Amino acid sequence: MNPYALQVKDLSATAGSFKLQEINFSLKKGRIMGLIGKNGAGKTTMIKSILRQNPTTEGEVLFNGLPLLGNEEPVKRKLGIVYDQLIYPPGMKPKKLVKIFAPFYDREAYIARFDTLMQRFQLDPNKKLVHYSKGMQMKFSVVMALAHNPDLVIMDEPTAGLDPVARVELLDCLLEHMQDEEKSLIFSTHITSDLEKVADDLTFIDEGKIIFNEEKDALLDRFTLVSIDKSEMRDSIKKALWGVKESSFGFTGLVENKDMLRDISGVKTQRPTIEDLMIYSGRKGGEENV
Amino acid sequence: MFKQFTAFQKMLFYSIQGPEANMKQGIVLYIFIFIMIFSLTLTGFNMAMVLSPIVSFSLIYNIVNSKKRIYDLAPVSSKYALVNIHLFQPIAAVIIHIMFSISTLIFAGVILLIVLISDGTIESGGPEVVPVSESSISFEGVMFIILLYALFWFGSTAIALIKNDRLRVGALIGGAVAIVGSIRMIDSILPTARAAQNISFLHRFSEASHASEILLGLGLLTLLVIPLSIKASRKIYNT
Repeated sequence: MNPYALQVKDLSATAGSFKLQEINFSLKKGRIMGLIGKNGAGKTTMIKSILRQNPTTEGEVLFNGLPLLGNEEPVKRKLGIVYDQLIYPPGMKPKKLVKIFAPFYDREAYIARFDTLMQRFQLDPNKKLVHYSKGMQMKFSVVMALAHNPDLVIMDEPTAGLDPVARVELLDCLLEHMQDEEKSLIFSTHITSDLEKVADDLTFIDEGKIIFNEEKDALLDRFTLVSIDKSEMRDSIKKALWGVKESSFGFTGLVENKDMLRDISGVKTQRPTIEDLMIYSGRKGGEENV
Repeated sequence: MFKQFTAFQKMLFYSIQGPEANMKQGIVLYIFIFIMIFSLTLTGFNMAMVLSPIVSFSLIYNIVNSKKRIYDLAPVSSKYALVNIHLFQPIAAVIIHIMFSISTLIFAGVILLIVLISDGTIESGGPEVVPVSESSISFEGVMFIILLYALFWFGSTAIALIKNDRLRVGALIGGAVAIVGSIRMIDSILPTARAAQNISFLHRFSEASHASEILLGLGLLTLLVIPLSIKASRKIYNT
């Protein structure tokens, strides 16, 4: 049995002047991958390219060992997608929309699961989508993505526009869905605190390239957030630091090997958060990190 | 099976997005619709006959280039999706034709009612009655319109599927020029052209002595274009 829910090999694509370059990663079954990166880093382009929605895409993408091309039916049956904006017609009522999708799945199970999810998110199926708030529309997109009980869910900024209570509800719902060890999830977001709670793996993308793709805890253990007094800063330390930022108190950055700072006074270290990784890991020693 | 088919057709319909989503594409499409309808009706084509295929094409053009393609979420093979995309056009054309005919009848009825109410009487004789033998279109005329529709249907769907914006617009303009140009050329060689402005293109075509030769040429072209456009559509769709 294939242990991977998703394998991406040498994926490249262009979107206008933006280039996605040689993306390689794998997602094991039963795991949640957080996809992080600043605005315009290439998260949405990457998701669209994985789903073959970008005509310039090159490379290989395997869903449970199958390429999408030629296997659309089995792959899409086990795939749930949440886009960064509502793609369903705003003038439609959810109860009508679910009837359109139901014939493609086990009708009764699909409608029952849809109803359960709608109730869970307190969404009115008789209300037109245009009358939903932005947060409710996003919740509805999540309902549609989960209604057919997919094995792999790909979400592009699902928590954007949601208030903290709704975000917790959504994360709980996703964790519940993930109770089955065969289920996997890719979750792109700016709200890194959400990933602290749910992600197993982290993929950081910047300027169309993957900076790292590792297990979250191993990654957070590998790096140390360091603050150094101005008087103690040396060129050798500066070169070893990722994303050095200077303030009136001194310098702050990430370091992979904290042992090199052992004998230096005026150094404070702490475990970084995912947000720290995002902020500091783009550059190393003042140069582009590739 | 039928439920899935109707559901997929609905998904296609609900993937239509407003012109505000892609202003440039919307403007190009409106210009295309206007030029095609204007040119063809000027040649003597019935408005309902021209309106339905062109509007249905503009719908499928919008759908396959929409950023909200909900039909992409359905778990179906690309072959099934492509067959449905091709079938959407004739189905939409029939519905538009019926809707146009009904609304024309209602409009005519309302006008007649207004005249009746304001005058109180209908003038004797009424509208001129055209004998059936004079108004009917011959087999050649029917075949001409069927072949033209088939060519337009398959060719235009392949054009709509082109993913590169510039290439698609170029093909759209090229296709429009080819259709309008060919019809104008055929029109110019029809015996009653220009002389009888009130006679439709198809009536004049029906009466033309070399209609069979034109039909043969059009038939051969259709036989060539249909398999080519199916092959091109599959290749473009799967890219």
